[in-house]
This record gives sequence, C-alpha cells and structure tokens, in this order.
Amino acid sequence: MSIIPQNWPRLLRSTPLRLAFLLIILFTIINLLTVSGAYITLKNRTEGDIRENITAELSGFDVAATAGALRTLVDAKARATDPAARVYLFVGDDGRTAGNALAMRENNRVILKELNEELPLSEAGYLQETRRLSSGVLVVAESLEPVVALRRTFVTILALTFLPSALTSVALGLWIARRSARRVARIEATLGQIAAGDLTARYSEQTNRQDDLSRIGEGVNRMAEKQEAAVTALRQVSADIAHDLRTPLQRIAVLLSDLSGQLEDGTEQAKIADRATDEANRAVSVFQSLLQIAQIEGGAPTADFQNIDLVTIAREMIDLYEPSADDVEIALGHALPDGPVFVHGDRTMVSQALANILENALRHGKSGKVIHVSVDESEAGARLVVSDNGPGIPAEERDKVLQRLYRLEQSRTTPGNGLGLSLVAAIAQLHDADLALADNNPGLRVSLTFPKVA
Amino acid sequence: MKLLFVEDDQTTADYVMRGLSEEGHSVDHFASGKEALTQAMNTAYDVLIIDRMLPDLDGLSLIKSLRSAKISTPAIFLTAMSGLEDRIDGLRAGGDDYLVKPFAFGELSARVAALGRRLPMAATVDTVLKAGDLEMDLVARTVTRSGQNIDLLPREFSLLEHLLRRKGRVQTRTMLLEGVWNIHFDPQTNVVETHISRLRSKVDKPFNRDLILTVRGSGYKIDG
Repeated sequence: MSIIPQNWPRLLRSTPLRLAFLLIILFTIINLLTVSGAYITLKNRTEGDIRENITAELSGFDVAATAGALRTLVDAKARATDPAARVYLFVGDDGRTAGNALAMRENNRVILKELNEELPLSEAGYLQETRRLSSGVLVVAESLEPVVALRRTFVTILALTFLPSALTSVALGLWIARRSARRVARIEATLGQIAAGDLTARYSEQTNRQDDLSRIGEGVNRMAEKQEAAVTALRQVSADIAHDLRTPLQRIAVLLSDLSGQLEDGTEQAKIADRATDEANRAVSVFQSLLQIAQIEGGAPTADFQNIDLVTIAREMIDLYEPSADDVEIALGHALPDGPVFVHGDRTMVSQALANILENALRHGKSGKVIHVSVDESEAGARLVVSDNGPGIPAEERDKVLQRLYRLEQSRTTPGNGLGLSLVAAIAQLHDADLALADNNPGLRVSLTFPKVA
Repeated sequence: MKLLFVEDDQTTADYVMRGLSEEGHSVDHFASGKEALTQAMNTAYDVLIIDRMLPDLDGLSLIKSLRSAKISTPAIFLTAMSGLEDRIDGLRAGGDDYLVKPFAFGELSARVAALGRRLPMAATVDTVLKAGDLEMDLVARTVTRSGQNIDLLPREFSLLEHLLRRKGRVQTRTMLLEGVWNIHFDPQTNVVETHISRLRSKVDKPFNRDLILTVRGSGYKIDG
C-alpha cells in the first residue's frame, strides 16, 4: 500500500480525512495555548532573575566614590567578565570611560556598542540599568541569552509534541479515508451497474464490520433485489400476455382471412370482413407497441450498442418518408452535415424513433406544409431535430404526450395509436438521450440529443 | 416444396397447413418440438417453419440442435415475442428468418418461398434483368421499357431491382422494408405503398400492361 494514493482529490473530500484535519487544527490550537502560556511564565521569571542580578551588581558600587576609584573598580570587574554575558560600563563626568563595552546616547537611551572585535556583544540583546553616581553614569547590562535559550527549548518541545501527533493523525485519517473510500467506491460501482441495467450487481462487504457503510451496502442490495424481482416479473408477465393474447389474435386473423376468402370481392360482407381485419390489425399494432415500450423500459440490453451514424439514419428515413410527405403536399426539407455524426446506440431503435417523430409530424403538422430534419453536433452532444409548422402542442401538454396512449383532444380523430412518442421517449431513455419538445413558433420542434461518443 | 411445420396451436396449424397445401407444398406438421427434431434429423426438407414457444422443446434449442448436427435447412421462426433481442436471438441460434404472430398467411407464404429458393438466386450474375418488355441494366444503371428510357431515382431503382431479382415471387411490405431499406420495424404509415405507386407511375402508367402486380392481402410482384 503506497502512502500517497492516486485519487487524492477524491480522498481529500472524504469525511474521515476532514475529521482528521479538524482534529489536528484543534489539537494544535490547544497545544500552542498551553505551551506559550508556560513559555511566557518562565520568560517573565527569567527576566526577573536577570533584573535582580543587575540590581545586586549595581548596589555593589559605592555611590559616593570618586571617578577614578569607580573606573578602577569597573575595569577590574569588566576584565573578568565576558561582555556577551554581562556588561559593566562607567562614563565619568570628565568623558573618560571604563568597562567591557562602549555606550552611545541616543534619545535619552543608552545603546551598547562592542569595544573591539575580540569582545563581541550578545546577539540576544540585553537588559540594562543606568545609575547616576556622584562622578558619572554607571551602566550594568545582562544578556538576554537565557531567554533566547528558553525560547529555543520551547520551540523544540512544540515541534517534538506537535509534529508526531499531527503526522499520526493525518496518516490515520488517510488510512481510514482510503479504507472507506474503497468501500464507498464499490458501493458507487454497484449502483452504477444497477443504473446501467445490470440488476444482478450486488455489493459485497469484505469485512465483518457492521457500520453505516455496510448498512448502506445492504440497502443497495435490497433495492437491487426488489428491482430485479420486479423486472423479472414484468418480463414474465409480458411474455405471458404476449403468448396468451397473440394466440387468439392469430386465430382471429386466420378466421377473418378464411372468411374473406369465401366472400366475393366488393360485396357488403367482404367490406365488413376487411374492416374487421383492419381493426384486428390496429389492436395488434397497439399491443405490439405497448409490449415494445415495456420491454425497452424494462431495460433492454445495451451490450449490442454500436457507433451508428445519425446522418445516414436521417437520410434513410427522409428517403423513406419523402413520397408520403409529398402526397399530403408537405415539403420534407433537411440540413445534414456532409460527414457522419456518430452516436452510441441501436440502429433499428434510433431509426424507429425518427420514423415515429416524422409520422407524428406528418399526421399532426399537416397544416404547416413544411417539415424540417436536421442533424448537428456540439459540445452538448449529437442532436437530431425535427420541426414542423403545424398547430404544435401547448406547453402544459408536452409532458403528457410522452405518456402512453395520451392524445390531444383535437387529435382524437386522426390515425395513430397514441404510442408513437412514448416509444420515442423510451428509446431516448435507453440511449441516455435527452428528448425535448419545444415551440417552433409556430409548430412543434422535437429534438433528440445523444451524449457525445467517448 | 417439402416443408416441416412445428406449431402447437391447432387452429393456426390447420389454417397454415391448408394454405400451404393449396399452394402445392407438402407439409409435415408436429405439435411437439422433440418429435419434430427427430423427424428433421432423419428427413430432408426444403424449409422448416418453427414456432418458438413449444410445450416441450423450445424452437431456439430445436434449431441449435439441428445446426450443431450440420443440418442447414433454411428455417423461419414464428414467434409471439416481438422484442428486438428476440429477433437477434433467433438469428443467432441459426434461424434464417423471423415472423411475429399474428401474421397473415400471405406473409408466411412469401417468406417460405423466398427461403426455399434462396440458393439459386444467389448464383445469378446477370448484369441485365428483364421482365416482359422491361430491361434493367445493372452496370449502366438504366431502365428501358419498349425501348423507351425511364428515369428512376436511386431508391426507385433499388425497389425495382429487388422485385425484378425475385421475379414471379410475392414480396410483402415488410420484406420490401427489410430488403430495400434495411428496416426492421413496422411503420404506421403506408410508406411502401407510396413508393410502389411512385414507381408504377413511371414504369407502368405510360404503358399498356401493368408489370408490378398487387397480390391481395400479401404484397407485390413482377411477373415474367
């Protein structure tokens, strides 16, 4: 198991890792507060000690001594002392100085300077005190080095306590995140398979743990089982209905054909027999369409899908329907690209979808005298558009016409079984295509947008 | 032709058998898939007509068994299932054609005739097809009747060619859709009739005798 997972961005958005980071931040704040509290206390105490030292040193000098005596005293002390640790300095009223450093007066403050390069001052800075004596000014300063050392110690303590705990938390968080990410990924994969129509897909828990994720996994499995049972039942019912209804329908067809054969052409009886045959055929067509929609909605297999050319399909269907359109004085125009526009799907189903849309336009858009077919391709996908200039469909009815057997009030008397667009909707859904009915101002504009071929 | 017919519904079976016999075929009928399989293994037939849903052995398995026994007699499935996958399943199992119930007898008869005469037709290499005084030159892609040139659109040419290649045999609406347009669904509009009437207005209307004949209840054909 590599420490750096490949799916970083996903992992960073996972709940365990977020919690780990939150804990690290909280822990860091508490740590910083307590450690800096301790540091400030100790720092104050150290500075107090230094100040006491300085005061003690200062009080060792005789206030009333002469400048010469003080100079000798300071020189003696200064010689024995490293100026990096402590500075003694006397500036006599006569301007002569003694000590292990130099002093400059700047805005009423005394600033220490090193005497020479062999006696460097401490870089940590000094605490200093200046006292006016009878014959001059005495300065005693002590290095803040102990305070700096203290700070270094505390930073080390902070690093030693903070880094290991932070690293441990992140590593632990990552580990947990990856573990649950793998499980979440498997649950997602299972859901994806189910959504794609494979209802036999199941999530299998690889550990014995009983937690929220395993419960979600079980839920997914229960859902898939129910769905599978329902689809199996639907298929069985469809097959049973198909068989039980088709046999009598077949017999009716047979008997009517027998009857027609015995009647003389052109007689009243023969006309009745022909009408009965037409009605039987209509029943068969409704039945067939319903069954087909049920089968497609029940998840027809998409394994046989291929890359098919929308332009070729459009040309074929325009070619097929052109004479029929011409018969009712409709101009069937088109705007098709020269090259192919591929979509992933089933040729027969997509052809049938276009045929149904065209038949719908021929039946209901007759008054417009124009039907236009176009194919184009954009970032959104491959689009097939059929528009007419007929009466169109009111906005509030557009969803309903996609439902089975729904027909607009004014269309009750026109032929068609009210299933054409429902079948188009089912085919669109199976192809992940977006079916949209819009106003063509005037007329209906049906567009079918397929996802881009990968 | 000698036909084997497997169908468990007696009414349909009687009707189909009567029709096929009237057309001069000799038909052996079985209601059981197993019996039919034994019979087909031992007797030579021209075409097999097989219902897909049988009480004992289903039609798909029957054809699969025959095909694995190297019996390649053309077979047409009759089925109550019209799903796309069912059609593909049938063809994959070794079926040659597929007819959904309920079907008209004319449809079955035309398809059986097409299957029975499939081999000789594939051998034709003529570049000129003739019917009466009509001639179609497949290389030059021209059509003449009584020496008169007839201008046809590409699709009209294909439709006429399809009928001429099957001279004397009825072609149903669905057979034309499949053969000329490669379409495997049933349009609700009379598209085929419209195309035929276009073709007729060019090929038949200006002349005395109609070449493209309508066969009532079945389809169309061109006689020699």
